[in-house]
Amino acid sequence: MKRLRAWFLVPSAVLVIITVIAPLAIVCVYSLLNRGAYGGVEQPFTAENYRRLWDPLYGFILWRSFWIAAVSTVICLVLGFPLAMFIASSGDKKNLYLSLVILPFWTSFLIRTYAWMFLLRDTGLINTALQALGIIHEPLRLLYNDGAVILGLVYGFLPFMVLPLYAILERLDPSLIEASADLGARPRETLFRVILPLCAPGIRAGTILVFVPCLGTYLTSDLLGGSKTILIGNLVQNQFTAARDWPFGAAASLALMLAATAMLFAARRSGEELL
Amino acid sequence: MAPDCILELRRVSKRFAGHQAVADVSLAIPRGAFFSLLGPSGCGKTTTLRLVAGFENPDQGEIWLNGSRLDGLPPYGRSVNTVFQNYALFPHLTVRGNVEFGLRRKSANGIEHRVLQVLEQVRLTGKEARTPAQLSGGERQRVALARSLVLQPDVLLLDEPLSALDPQLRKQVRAELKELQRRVGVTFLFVTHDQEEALSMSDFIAVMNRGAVEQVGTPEDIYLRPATRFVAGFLGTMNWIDGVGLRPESLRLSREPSADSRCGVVTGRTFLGSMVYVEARLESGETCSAQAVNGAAAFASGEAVHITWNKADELRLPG
Repeated sequence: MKRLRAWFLVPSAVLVIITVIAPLAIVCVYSLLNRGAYGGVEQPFTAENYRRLWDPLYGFILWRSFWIAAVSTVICLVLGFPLAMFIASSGDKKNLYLSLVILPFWTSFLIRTYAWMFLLRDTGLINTALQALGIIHEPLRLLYNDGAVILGLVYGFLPFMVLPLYAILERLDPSLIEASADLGARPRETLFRVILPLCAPGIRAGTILVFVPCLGTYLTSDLLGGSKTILIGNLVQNQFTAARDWPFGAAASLALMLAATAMLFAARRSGEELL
Repeated sequence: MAPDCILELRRVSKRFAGHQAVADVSLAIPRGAFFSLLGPSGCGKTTTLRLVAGFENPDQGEIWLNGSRLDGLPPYGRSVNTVFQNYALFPHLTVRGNVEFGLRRKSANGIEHRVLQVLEQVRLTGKEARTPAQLSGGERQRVALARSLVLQPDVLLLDEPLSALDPQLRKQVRAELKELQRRVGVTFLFVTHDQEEALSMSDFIAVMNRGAVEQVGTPEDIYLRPATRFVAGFLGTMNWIDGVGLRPESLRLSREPSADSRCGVVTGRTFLGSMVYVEARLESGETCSAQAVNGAAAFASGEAVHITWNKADELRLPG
């Protein structure tokens, strides 16, 4: 059985090597080469791409990406926690509500992001309706700003926050909440002293699941943020397309990965201390 | 309210979807008593406890504690505390954190001293820094006790607190719990389905069946003078011969017939060390179980036997 068990790993190991490790190795090598005249890469090896990353411009882009991802994650947590509590305590209707949370996944993320553009643009549904009702006379600038990007990210990644929180809350022993009230804690104290601390693993999982993809986003910022909102994801995308600077794009994407990994380790370290 | 009563339930009823959990229950619990609610599962004893704790509210009736109305108050507004069946210790807190949990709202003055004192009372000194996962079942039960006792409740509610312990430990803890109750002087309202537990620990027992109280009394009252057939049958073994109840220890077995003896055939025997239980079928078709001291005439299966008893031991019970 033990020998057989190792074989179970083979299909996924092959897949991971072909689709993750090999491309990552290529990206590593590319990031150390010079750009080719029409895209691609050329010898000799150089560290110049990493040196360029220290330019304050790119530092600013990285910082902005972190900031937008962090704000989106916090909003997801604030919205997702009560929602997860509601679903976990709704008895027979749990599965119905859960499928409603997952329902948007049945449509492509691209199409859903376009839908937001149609809602938010100057001649979109919201502005048209508000103008028709006489509440506003000039269209509101709803699209092509940071707010629109954060809205799109929160909308897209909220389920990734709700699901791990739900998984924890659903297993939470109800007698712990009764015990807390029994020992004199008001509902608010029970929330902060019992429910939230016990949800720490779910909060951590949800935060990682939302923060990391938000950090690398390029689709949402491209469509809803317009040209004004350059995030690290867009920077990488640009280097491989318009700018035709593959080595620099590779270096930037590796820097992003390193930063995200460092944060994950920091989060895990502090999480273990918490428990 | 009677002056010596700390807790009183007046005609309390509680209905859950399609099932009457507690039906018109009235109870008066004397101050400082070890009071047990005894009954089979589903008899309403735990619901009664939860009504006092405030986790449920009665549909009808009133609950009074120390002269003030209790029902309608939230659990955190009642000076009663609960030891849960599974103990419900907070897994993210240490022993000390669990014990201090309810003290957080009170003044910091003397908390330290109270915590150490109560931990000593339940013999957990030195285990303050452990988490519940690092404790044995018996230790967890004592943390649950300490966490409640440190708040000095008017009444401590215990929901089958021994059922999660293994059988050997259970007997030992019974004596300890009774001793602790006597020492601390807190009124205990103790829920159990285990008659031996209730008989050995309680000052008073209320036997419940189908949401109603069948009888309240001392353990001796309940066992020796059961008020209903249910109580008689639930506590210990009861034989029904000619419509009267007879305890196994009231029956005498003999090989010789006598004036008013009943004739039967031995159908089985159970050896219990210090005594032997003999099962017999009477000529009338009724079966009975008699307790005989070990070493007395050893009856074998199939043997004819004559049974007698004292008229005074007969229990005539309604329903």
